[in-house]
Amino acid sequence: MEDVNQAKQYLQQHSDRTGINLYDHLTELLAQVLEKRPRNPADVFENISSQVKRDRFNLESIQSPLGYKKKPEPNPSLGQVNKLMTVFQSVKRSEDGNDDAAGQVPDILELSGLFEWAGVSFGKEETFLLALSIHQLVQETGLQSARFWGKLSARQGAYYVVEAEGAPPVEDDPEKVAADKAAVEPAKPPPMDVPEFEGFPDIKRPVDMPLPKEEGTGVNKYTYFVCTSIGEAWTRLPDLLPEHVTAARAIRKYLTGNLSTPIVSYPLYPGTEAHYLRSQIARITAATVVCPLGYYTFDPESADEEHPETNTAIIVNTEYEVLPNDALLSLENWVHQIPHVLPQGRTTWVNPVKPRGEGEDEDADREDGEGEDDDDASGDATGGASEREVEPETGPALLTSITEDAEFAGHPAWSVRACSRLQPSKFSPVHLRSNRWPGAHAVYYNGKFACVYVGDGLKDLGGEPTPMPALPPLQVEFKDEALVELVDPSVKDEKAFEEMLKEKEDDAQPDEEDGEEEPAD
Amino acid sequence: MNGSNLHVDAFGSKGIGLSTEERACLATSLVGLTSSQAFMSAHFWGKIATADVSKDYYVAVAYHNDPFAPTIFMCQDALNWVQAPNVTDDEMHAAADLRAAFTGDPAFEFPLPNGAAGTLPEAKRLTAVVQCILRDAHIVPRGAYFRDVLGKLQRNATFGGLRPHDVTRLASYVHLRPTATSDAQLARPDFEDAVDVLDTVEHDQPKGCWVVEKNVMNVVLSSLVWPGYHHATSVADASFASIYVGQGKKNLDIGFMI
Repeated sequence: MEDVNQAKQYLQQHSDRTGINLYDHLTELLAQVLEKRPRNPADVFENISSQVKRDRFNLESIQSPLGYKKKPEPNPSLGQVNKLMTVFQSVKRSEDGNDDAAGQVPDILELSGLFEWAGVSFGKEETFLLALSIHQLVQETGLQSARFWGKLSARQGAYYVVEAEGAPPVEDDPEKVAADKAAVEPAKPPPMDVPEFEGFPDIKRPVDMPLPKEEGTGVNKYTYFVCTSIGEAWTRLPDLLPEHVTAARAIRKYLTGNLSTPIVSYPLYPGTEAHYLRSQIARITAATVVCPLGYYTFDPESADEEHPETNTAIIVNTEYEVLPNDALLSLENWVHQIPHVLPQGRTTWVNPVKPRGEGEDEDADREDGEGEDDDDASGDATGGASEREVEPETGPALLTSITEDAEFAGHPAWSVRACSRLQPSKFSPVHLRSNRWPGAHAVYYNGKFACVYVGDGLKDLGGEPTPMPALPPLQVEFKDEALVELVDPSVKDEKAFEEMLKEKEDDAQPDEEDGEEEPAD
Repeated sequence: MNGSNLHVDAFGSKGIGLSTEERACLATSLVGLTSSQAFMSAHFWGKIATADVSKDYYVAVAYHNDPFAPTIFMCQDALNWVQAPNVTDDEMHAAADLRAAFTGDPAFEFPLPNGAAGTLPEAKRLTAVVQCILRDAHIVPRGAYFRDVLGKLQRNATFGGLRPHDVTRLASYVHLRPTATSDAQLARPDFEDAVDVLDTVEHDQPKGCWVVEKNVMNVVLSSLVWPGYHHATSVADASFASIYVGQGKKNLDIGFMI
């Protein structure tokens, strides 16, 4: 027995070259032979032995010369993919099949088929994910209706925009309200510690009251939600103040892709990228969202007979007859669906000049004496009359045909085509494209129509260079009749004056003159 | 992107698509074009939008052997291709400065910009714009082309695609245009003699003029200097493609907008 144990110990000695021992090798070898049962095992024994030795070579051990392992590198879009998976899993179909309560969303996949005819297509999978995401948004936020507005490209990514109606109102953030108020009333400088100084007199400038925001109507009728990639949560864009729109008309900047970026521009933009994006969306919507003639009509209940141009309520026309595709090839059959935004930044005009009487009563911040000062100062030339005459701004009324749109750089503002040249017209959608806002498309096909915007959110320059902002007027000299400017005497005059004085002195005191003092020559 | 002379599907994220009719017409007519003049390859280069949407130009580019000497074809109905006229360098410079929109009439004469005398017909402006974009904006992944032992630029048949960590970096894309010398290339840690003979996109001015968008299966680079030019590189395999869908105008005001 001892011999066997010793022999076994010897056989189990690990080789210092390769690390294997003969005992294990023979075990494995015999196992292989018994498994494979070759025909002449004794003849092929060496082959099997060397095969076993070769198979033992482990590429993955660090000491072996070729020991490396190829690992797959992660897809750079993995984060995005994970978010997309949540979109797939989040949409719940209601159990009782009552999907009507879930808010109205048009059939996005069907519309995407139409837009593909026009040359605008996100690809079927991406469109499907977008549709799911929009359904999810409508469910979560309880919107009345929503439509896919378009995609705006930015410097890092893009914005998908959804236009919604019936979004619950947002409570004003108290901090934001205070900040807005502070911005509107300029801070009074603190009184200085000099006695008898009562502060600088207030300069009587004609103060425009800030234009009121349109709540729930006009520019802010729809609410817009954006997200930077499908699968991310939708962010609600803030409502617009009129100054946001007027300032957006003066600048031309690319979007960056981050809603909280400040806009660095001249003239200064009073807001962040969220406001700028919202302003551009409002301008594009007002200028390019169109519908076929006759689809909408003015609401007879709220129509104002005397002022037809201010009607804003439109409803679907129940007596609408579907026009054939051919008819929509003429621009007269397309009309604007959204009210025009006036230069003021609103859709309805408001007089910006503060009316005389009301200003004194409402102004709680001013001192009492100043109310009278205003009256006294009204006669002064203080840089303009206190009561300015401002012309009301008007724009084209709702539901005017797009043929009324002004020509743009020598070309009509819109161009239209039949998408299919080769098929008969009843199978050919009609594609309408804007020249003023490149990227705004509208499609019509046998009664169905839709608008979309895919672009960078900028108005076409129309062949002109970017307009440079006008510089502010130069400051004028301060005018006050009490100040009289004297002319400084020249050196010659001073000398003559001095000599005259000296002569007077000499005349006045002749006795004191010494005889030695001779007038110098 | 593979096996098709259209490769428009890679650009879905930019909203670019072709209708079924356009695809059918273009794919077929391009094959005819390639064989008609014994080109090595021809592919759909892009669309130039005009003021009239029914008269947009479709542009195709065909090559014999030299990647730097393309022949440019245009048509307005996706079927009947017409070779675009040749242009001189001066005309190329003039076309890059023009701000007016294309009209859709190839015989329309544009007055030259910057007060120069003379006019530029629209067909020549189209060629000039295409040549400018090929020179200024056309990019390929680094490694897709290499200089062989005879000094000639060849397409790299063993290009395995960009690595996932490289595919979003601007330094991995190069302009496909003849360069004098590229000293900047010597600064690369992974400099390779045969491959680093083209300028990378990293130092293009103004800074930030390339937009990188990561999609699920590809990465799309868009130029802001020639808005409408896009390049897509696949993340999974070695395919890549470029397209131009725009108005044919250079963004001369880019300095104010970035």
